[in-house]
Amino acid sequence: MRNAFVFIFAAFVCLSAFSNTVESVTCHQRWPWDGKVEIDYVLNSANADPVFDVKFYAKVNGGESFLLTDLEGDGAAGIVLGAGSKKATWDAPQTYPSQQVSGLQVAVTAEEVTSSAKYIILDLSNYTFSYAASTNVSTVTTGSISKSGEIWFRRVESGTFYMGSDSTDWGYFDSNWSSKKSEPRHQVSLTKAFYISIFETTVAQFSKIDSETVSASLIPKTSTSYAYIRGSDKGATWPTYTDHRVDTNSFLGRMRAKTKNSLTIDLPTEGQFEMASRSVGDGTFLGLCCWNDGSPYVSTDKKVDANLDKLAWYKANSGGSMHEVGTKKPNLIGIYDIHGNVWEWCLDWYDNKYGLTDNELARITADPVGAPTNSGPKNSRRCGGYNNTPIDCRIPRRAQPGSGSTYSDYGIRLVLVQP
Amino acid sequence: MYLLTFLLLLGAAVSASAAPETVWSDTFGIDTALAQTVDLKSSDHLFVSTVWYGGIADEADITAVGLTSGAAYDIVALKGANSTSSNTWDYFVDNADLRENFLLTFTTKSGNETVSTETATVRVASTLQDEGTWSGNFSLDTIGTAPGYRLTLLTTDDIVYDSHWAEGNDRVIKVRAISHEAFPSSYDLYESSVDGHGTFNWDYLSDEVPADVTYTLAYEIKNEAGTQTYAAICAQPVIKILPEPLTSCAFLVLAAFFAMRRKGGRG
Repeated sequence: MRNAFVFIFAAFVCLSAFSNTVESVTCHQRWPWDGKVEIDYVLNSANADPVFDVKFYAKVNGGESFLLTDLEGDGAAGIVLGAGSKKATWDAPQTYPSQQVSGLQVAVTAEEVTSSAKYIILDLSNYTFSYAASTNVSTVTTGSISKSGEIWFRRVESGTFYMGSDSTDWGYFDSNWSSKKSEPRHQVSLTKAFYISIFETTVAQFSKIDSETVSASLIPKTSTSYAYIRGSDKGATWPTYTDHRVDTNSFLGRMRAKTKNSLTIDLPTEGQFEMASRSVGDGTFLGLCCWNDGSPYVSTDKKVDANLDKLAWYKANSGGSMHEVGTKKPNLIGIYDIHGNVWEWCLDWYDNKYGLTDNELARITADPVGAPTNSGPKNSRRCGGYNNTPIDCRIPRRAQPGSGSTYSDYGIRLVLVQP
Repeated sequence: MYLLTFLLLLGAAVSASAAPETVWSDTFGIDTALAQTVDLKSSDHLFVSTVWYGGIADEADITAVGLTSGAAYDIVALKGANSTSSNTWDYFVDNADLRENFLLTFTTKSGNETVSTETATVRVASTLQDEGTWSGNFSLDTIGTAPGYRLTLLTTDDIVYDSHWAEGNDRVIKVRAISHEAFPSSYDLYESSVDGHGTFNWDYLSDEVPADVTYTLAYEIKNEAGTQTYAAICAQPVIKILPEPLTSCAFLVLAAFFAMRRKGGRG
């Protein structure tokens, strides 16, 4: 009898732990002059940083349900990152122009797909998100649709790692490096998982989002300033505001609008970029003196490195020009061109000590955001380009470009983050 | 056995949590016919009429800013609005310059948190008098000889008329020459329908006009409601037609007469 009670109690605790995936769906018309309906709902999960596949339906007076498409906000484009309260907006006048409708009900259908969502894919033909457990990108591939009609993002789990370098790292005290000591080694903890694009954004991908003329070019898109990517008004306010706000007329503003503001798309912080670069994939991270596949530096003349040759287009092998993305080996979690090809913009404003005090550098920093807004004004870039030597292609290598400037060897890598 | 059953239940729970789950909202109604809820109607006030159909907000602020002048008007701040039914509010603002467009902002709040902000650019659809502005080079001149003087409006480039009229109102513009007399007369030079922004190139003649009179160029606007207004294009009288001068022929006749008299006296 006693065992039975223990069993029942344990079963109750077990079942209680798995509360409803979706609950508290409430709807109301916002106000009549735009007629839109706000849909509030709550997503639950026992997992940290869950991923949900979400759809919305409606029906009238208990009739047949139909899929809602004129949506904006959380889940409007199919995928939601993170649990908690969510809000989407249904443009009801698109379905019911100038009329009164009673007996409406809206349903939220949610499935947690965290374990299957190693990748999130943005389809650039209809601007919806889907997920996949594995990539269709081979180790080294050319001409893939994932470089033109889609953008693939790789999940990077939360964790703690060492960022930067010290005197034991080749290049740190190189006499030709004027920015030495700008990468002090310190421990960083990123508390939320995120997704980072496996390729530098190509001209083809960029053109589908930002241009009237679609290009087929698979080289990285360059010559776009930080201000163009995020905007010079709201987009320049990081990290005063850490809600990832951007100008609506910026590249990211247009991209978010096309994806119905369903997910937060942004540049990676320096912490995210370096964490993804050093990630081994099993919760551990690469240390110093190695390239992003774990192979050691082997350059003896500071010009050629046989191990870097396999991973990067850089000065010794690029022929002085950019190359199609993803034509060198990826890092240990499948991210391409971290070294070389083009420098990549980061979200943070630059500071020699990452915007941290010496005391903070001595501790674990959680979710670093860089220097204060408009400090410089400089932003951060990462890991060298096609015209740089191996030293400039190292993982901790960073620089400080002007946020309003454009450069022919600066590209874009995107992340999906939890707001 | 209990352990086995427990594990089965655990497995079932995990499986259930991974399956798609659908939750329906309570029933609700919408009225998309109420899309236009901000309106300006008055001819002598900035008049905002709103209908608020409820929602999660419990406070609303309405402000207006003149897009030309930058003048800001706080129209109303509402608190404790009924969130379950529609509410209609009409508000007037005095002393607004009704010739310009207004950016209306409707901000709703829940507590101290802004729920949403909606904006609309509106203009007053009214029967107000027009006060447009003119640009371009133009002048008044005369052609012809007595007694057939006629006034002509000369332009050296396009004359642009830019008014604050709301679009959609039919208007007629007349350009006239007004005489400076105890009982002024006006002489039509040009007449056309115009909209808010017009470009004209004029070269029109009036009917015959009296000489020895000063004329000022003026325009007249008449809108659909019949309201009229006059405004001088030029601040000063632009032309005065002088009396007919002595002709050279008469001068020659007089000169010959005096010359002959002088010649005869000597003889």
